[in-house]
Amino acid sequence: MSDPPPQHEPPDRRLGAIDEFESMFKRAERSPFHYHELPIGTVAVVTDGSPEEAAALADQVRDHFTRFDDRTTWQTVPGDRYQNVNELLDVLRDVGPDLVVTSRCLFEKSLVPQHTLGVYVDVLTQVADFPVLLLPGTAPQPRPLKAEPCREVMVVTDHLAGDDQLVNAAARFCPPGGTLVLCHVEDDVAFRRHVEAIGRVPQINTDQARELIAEQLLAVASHYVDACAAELKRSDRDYTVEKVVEFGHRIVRYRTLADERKVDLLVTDTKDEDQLAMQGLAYALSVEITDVPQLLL
Amino acid sequence: MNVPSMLLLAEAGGHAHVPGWVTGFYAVVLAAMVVCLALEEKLHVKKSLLVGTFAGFCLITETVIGYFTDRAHPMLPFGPVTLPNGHEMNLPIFIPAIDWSVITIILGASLFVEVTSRSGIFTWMAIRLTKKSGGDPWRLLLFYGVLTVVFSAVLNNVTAMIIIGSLTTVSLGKLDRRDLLLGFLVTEGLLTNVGGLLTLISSVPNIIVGKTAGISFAQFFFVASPYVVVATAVTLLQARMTFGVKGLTTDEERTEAAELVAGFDESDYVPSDRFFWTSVALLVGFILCLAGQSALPFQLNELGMGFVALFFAGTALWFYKKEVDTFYKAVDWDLLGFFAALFVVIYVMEQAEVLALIGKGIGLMLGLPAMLAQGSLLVSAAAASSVTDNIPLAAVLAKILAVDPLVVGETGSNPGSPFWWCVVFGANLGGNITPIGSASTVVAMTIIHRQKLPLTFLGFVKVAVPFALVQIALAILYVWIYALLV
Repeated sequence: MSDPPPQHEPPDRRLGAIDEFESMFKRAERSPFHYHELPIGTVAVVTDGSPEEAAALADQVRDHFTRFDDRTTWQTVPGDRYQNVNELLDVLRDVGPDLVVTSRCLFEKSLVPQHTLGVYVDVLTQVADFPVLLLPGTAPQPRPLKAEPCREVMVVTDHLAGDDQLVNAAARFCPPGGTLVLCHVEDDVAFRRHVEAIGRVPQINTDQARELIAEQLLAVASHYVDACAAELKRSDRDYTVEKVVEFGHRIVRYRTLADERKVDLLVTDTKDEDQLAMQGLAYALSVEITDVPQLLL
Repeated sequence: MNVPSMLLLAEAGGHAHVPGWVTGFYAVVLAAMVVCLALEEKLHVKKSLLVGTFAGFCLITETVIGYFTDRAHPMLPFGPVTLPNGHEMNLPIFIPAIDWSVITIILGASLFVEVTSRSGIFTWMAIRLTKKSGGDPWRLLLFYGVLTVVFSAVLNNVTAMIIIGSLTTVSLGKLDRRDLLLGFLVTEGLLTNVGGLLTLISSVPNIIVGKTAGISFAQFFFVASPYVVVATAVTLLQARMTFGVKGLTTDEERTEAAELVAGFDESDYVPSDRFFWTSVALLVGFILCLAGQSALPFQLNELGMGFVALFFAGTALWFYKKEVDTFYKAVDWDLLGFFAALFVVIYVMEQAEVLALIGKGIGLMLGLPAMLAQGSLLVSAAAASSVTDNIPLAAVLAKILAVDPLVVGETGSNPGSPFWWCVVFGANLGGNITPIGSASTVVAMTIIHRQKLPLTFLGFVKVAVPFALVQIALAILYVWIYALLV
């Protein structure tokens, strides 16, 4: 008698039980949040205009983002101090900033730039190890910062849990009494595609998989936001921490949330695992949402 | 000999004469079954089917051989079974051959544990202790070691290994101490078989030997617990030295480790506080009822431990009244089928006088000076259970000892005999010599390989043998002391 054709056997009973308990314990793991005040000793304001324009811009930034104190040193890097990207990098190396404030599309007046960061910012975000604060609009067509001081800071990411640096940077710009929105949007298009694949695997119950995986994807981020809120409260930070953890089209949701909440600053990560030469979410956000200042880490 | 067997024999009006070649033939069949069980993983056949096939073969051949050798006194005593109230009942011969009290204890206890574990009580305890350890490796080993022993005693060795082994991989991963993972998993695997000695229901050999010997739950616990405490402490110290598990030395290390384990949320898998605390109460009640079963009033003690187990399982199932079928599916029917078939095989072996033949060999051993006899029996049981299933071993030895005058004396019953403990200790601890010696060490190896840790069969033996030798030596010493005291 020949062997029957191979069946889709359930996994070995013991292996299944081991996996089940490992999953339970992994699920019980929580990513802790450690608060620390991000040091910003020197801020470099990079423009493609004159020294006077750069100094005026520095004043605007200082007025809008009120968390900078007297200990912060402001350095301006006007357009006459560099001719190309390498020279700008050399200048910044000399300045040694903790934060660079600049605009999209430096020296691209003649190109009518659209949906791009411009070569200078593009390179800065990839090679520099300091955060870059992008001002609204572009260098050729700047948009003014709001007259009122920054009150609401929103962290936008698709993998919030464990990213202490991102939350600490956002907290650094949030004034006392302000609102810190921690936002995690899971890509519903990718999720639907995965569920469709699961739907073609007879061994997996599709409805159950959809429900449980969706629940877990959001639970991890949700627990992390709770940990952030608890830790910030313990650290006597006078913020209101709000949680937005949901499924959706990321760029569309971030755009909508930014508009609805009238946020004053978006904070995102350009150097995480998903950002290959900044071609991930951060790039898309920074070229699509140009009317809100953005802090790129 | 169990009651059904006696009834059947009484019904048959005595035992048939069994030719020597028949006994020899079935001795070979028994040996073949033991070899097949040892090679179960290689044969890719489940135990129930394997032993069920042997049981079927034995029933058919013994019937046919009996027909041709002595038709007037067939080896298998067919006929109606007389119940205690005098009524007669026609049952297939393989039904009364099974020791249903053992089957019901295993069925009830596994169902009960399956339901109560849904309350999150065991994972809650495991995570609480992880946090209490502060992430210190030595304290973690101590806590996990004790927890392994307790879980092995309350649940069963396999479930205990799965829970603690899984948590160990997650927590050491979080602490970035995967270098200690192998040592932890091996130690936990070895401790499951020590914990399996703690109570009468902690392992199947305990149930079989305990039931045959007439040892009560409480009596079993009081005799076994001092050994378990000492053996656990010694094993943990040995593990500390063997695997270089040291405590954290600086405050900075301690703070960092404590922060990492503090991130676990023990309440994550607790579906409801009400069910959680009810499960705690049921668990305590279950253990108390088992402990006091023989003293239950109004003849309730006559219902037996199997009923206690099924009663608590049924009570717990009310919490999931709409989905009880999922728990029925979770029962290890392969294991239950294996036991049932095994009892049939042993019954056939008894009729073919194979057990009497083995008993003669063991009788020679038991006839040695008492201390030497006890040591020899314990070591032999350990050696045999290191390479094959300890359940048939315990079942066969229990049957043989139950009729040996050196063990049960003239009254035919002596629950205090140290020889029972030789079988209990030997059958359980022998599982620590090789990775296939017990189901829980097989699980430990499965987790080790799943974590891509390098440990071969011989590698395990090399690491485990020093532990097993110490545990067995302690057991011999303990049985000698026990023999002096009783």
